[in-house]
Amino acid sequence: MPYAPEHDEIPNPLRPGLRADSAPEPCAVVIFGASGDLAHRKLVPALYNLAVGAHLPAAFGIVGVSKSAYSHDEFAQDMREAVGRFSRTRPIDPEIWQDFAAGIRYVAGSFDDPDTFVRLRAQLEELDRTRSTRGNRLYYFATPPSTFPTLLKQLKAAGMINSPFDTRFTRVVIEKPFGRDLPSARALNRLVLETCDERQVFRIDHYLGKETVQNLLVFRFANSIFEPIWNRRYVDQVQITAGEDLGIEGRGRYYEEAGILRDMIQNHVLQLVCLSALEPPVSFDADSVRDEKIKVLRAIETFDTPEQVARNVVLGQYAPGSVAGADVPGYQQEKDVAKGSRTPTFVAIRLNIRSWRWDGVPFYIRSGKRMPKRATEIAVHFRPVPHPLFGEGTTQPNVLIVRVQPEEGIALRFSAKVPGERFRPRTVSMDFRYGTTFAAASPEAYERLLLDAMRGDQTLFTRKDEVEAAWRIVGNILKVTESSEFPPPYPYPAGTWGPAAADELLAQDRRVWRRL
Amino acid sequence: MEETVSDAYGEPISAGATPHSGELTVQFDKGVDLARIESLLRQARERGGPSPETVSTLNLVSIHFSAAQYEKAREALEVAGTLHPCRLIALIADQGIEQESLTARISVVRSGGAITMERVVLSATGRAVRHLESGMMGLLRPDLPMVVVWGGRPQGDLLRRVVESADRIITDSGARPPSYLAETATLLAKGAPIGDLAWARIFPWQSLAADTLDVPDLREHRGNVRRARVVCAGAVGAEGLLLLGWLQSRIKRLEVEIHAEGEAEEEASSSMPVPRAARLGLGHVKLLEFVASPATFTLRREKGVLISQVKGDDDGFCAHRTRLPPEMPGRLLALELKLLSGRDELYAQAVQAAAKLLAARTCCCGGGAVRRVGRRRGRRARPDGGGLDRRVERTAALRQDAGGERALGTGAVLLHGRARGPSRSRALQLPGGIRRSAPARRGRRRPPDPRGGVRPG
Repeated sequence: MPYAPEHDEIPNPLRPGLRADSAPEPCAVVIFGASGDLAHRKLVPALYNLAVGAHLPAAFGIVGVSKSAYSHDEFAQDMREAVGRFSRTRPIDPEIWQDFAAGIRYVAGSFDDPDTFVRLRAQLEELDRTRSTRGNRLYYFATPPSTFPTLLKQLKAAGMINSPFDTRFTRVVIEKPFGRDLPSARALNRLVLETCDERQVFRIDHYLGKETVQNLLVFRFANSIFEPIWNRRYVDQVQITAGEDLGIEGRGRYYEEAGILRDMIQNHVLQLVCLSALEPPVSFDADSVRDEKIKVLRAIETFDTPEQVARNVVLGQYAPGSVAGADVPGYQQEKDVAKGSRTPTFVAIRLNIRSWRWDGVPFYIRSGKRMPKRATEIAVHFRPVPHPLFGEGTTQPNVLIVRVQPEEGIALRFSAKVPGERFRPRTVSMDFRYGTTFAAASPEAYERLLLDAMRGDQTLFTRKDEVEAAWRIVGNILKVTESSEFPPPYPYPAGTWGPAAADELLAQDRRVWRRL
Repeated sequence: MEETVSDAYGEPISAGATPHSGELTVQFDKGVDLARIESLLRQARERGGPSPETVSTLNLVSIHFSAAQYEKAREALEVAGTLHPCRLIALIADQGIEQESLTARISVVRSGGAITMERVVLSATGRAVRHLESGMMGLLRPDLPMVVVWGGRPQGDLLRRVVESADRIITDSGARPPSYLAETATLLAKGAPIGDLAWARIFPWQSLAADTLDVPDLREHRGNVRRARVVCAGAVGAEGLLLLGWLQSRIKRLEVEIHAEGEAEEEASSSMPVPRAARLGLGHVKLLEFVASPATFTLRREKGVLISQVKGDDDGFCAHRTRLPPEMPGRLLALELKLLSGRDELYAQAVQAAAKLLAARTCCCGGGAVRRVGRRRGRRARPDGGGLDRRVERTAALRQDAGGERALGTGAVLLHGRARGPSRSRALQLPGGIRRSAPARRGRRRPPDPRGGVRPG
């Protein structure tokens, strides 16, 4: 939430009408797990790009914390290399970097050791003095969830978490997974909320930082022509696909624990379902939008019995195959994956949203690794015309496609007459590509989300009840599919759109997956 | 590669307009053949292979008075058009050439495979200039807002209809003498949808000033701002007046002061590996100070960075700092194109306040400084002509000289925003600055002004 004046405060006379957003307050960002992949690939490059775009406050500092032994300068140098490799804007601007690096600090130590936090606190106080960061802190947990309890406990013990009413803010950014099922998610939420207030917790889901995902809200609620037909009377089905051509990229240990349902469905895909299905929020503030999302999650029918799961869920696991002309191993041949592993790398689910707007409109979702290509999209299929005026089978129903990646955009499929004397309709596609239309470089999802966290705007972050409601849906599926009685996932050759059973899931309803 | 379409209308182009690679050119001998232009546009679109989608968000019309002016502005228009996909209709009205000719150059600009701009450059010389506006009207894409970019006076006689039918008119007060703000204020009061690149130029100052008053420990000063001072580089410019006008329109009973100091920055070498902020041009703001006793907030520019400092509260720390955005052609225009129609209320209020300030200044100084220098520098004929007040004209000529190559009414200056040369004259610098005290409340007797200045009516 952008800065909102207290009741007894005089509003800023210079703020009204300005076109630029307000700058975040001075603050220090503490990255736990600073030597890790996320910090190198995403966080520090995103912070640097915010500096390039003049979005960072002047009084700003970064403190990296991890076990590796670095000096401040070595860490800054390491980050410079990371920015050089992964930044959206290159080459590095030496002037901006110099300014940026002057606020980089490093604290080495184990998270179990209270002394680490004593030193961290001293380091932050030094930044308050030298960089005027004014006691504002953004803690970014770029670490596995198993470390969260320790980190929170230590921060609390070291007196480094302020009350939400303090003028100096403390905010905690947590990366997924938020637990591995409903009980563990509840436990994690309880633990986090023992130490912080919900207003201080930012659960990051980088899908929500993507421009097209945000554009979905603009598309639905800034146009009057789509909303009247955005319901069960006109929509036949919705297909959401989140496919990746990559395998598990050496993350066998993580993936064996997670599987596709935890890795993609519980967070990213259900967020896409929410944004496609939600009712118009009363305003565009954090809680209004999230209130509407939670209503969608609560309205999704859960699968309570193994029969329901078997009828609506198809799991798959990739076998050796070929992706983009290269032979690739199967999941079970990947490093750190057990022989005979039952971990799914593909899932197709038929969801029903029991609401006035959607009941009876199936939401088919599928997500998988080692698909033929990387593609994430939402396809809204409309009902066919009631009477085939131009001959049976000559017209295809309209489809509206919102592409999230790779080429963000919107396409509409409709029928047009083929030039000539007879009335022969042909389906044409009108394609709007976001990136090429607005040539302004889109910020990386992490840039937008980090800036929002610094500003205290929670709109694009997941709330506690959202996480739990999503786990309620996915947890029920997991409970059944992870029991030994449930058949193992269907194998599918790498480089295909999943097992044949996924096609059968739609064939039961006389539908087919959209060809991507 | 120069490409000319041979057609029934005769010989390829004249008027000093050299076509660019990939442009299709057609010359008309009577009127503008709109169908012909549309068909050439289609041809241009299809040249890049399978026709990709064309998305337009506006009709952008730019007005120039010579081919050279258009060439200067071309890159900026292209960049702005890439950020705001549009149909660009550039009108070149060159009355300096007597021979009558009417030419259209047609091309498309692509970005990442998609067409982001369809461009028609209509140039006319001699009496054919009268066909430009009707030609332009026929080329507009339906339903889309029409934005006119014009460095000249918004109410010039020439091409009046173009400007009148615009949803928005973008000009650059910074490229003209500040006294033109009074005219802009009059037009705004009548509801003219004017946008201003000089206004876009002060966005970072406005943001920083607002951000400074948002710093938690400094919020208490919000209600106490009583005095403000702006310092411009080399000469008092429209940017400074607008900044001060904005402050005055936002804060009641604010005493303000503006003066010029030092010189504008020299043109930087162009071999920078990374883009840099625009240099501090003539009349640009270099310092803004506002006092909320006991605290004094100083916002100053140091190279490409704006720094705000506070004294008299806490310990004189740097409250905020912001990096000025790297300059590229068309950046300011792209910023102004974010608003496609209607009036920018904040701007309108700032201009009204700035115009009052200007009136007070003219009264204070009796225009003496301006007149004196005017005699020394002499006058220059300007292309957009049309019944200008003489004093203003002299000042204009003066600013034009001071700005080196800068000419009034050039889209080039306007769009590049960097065409100002180093200051050779400080003619508009007024000794002692301009002071204006708070207007007396209605019903009360005004106390005598201790400085002997004349109050604005």
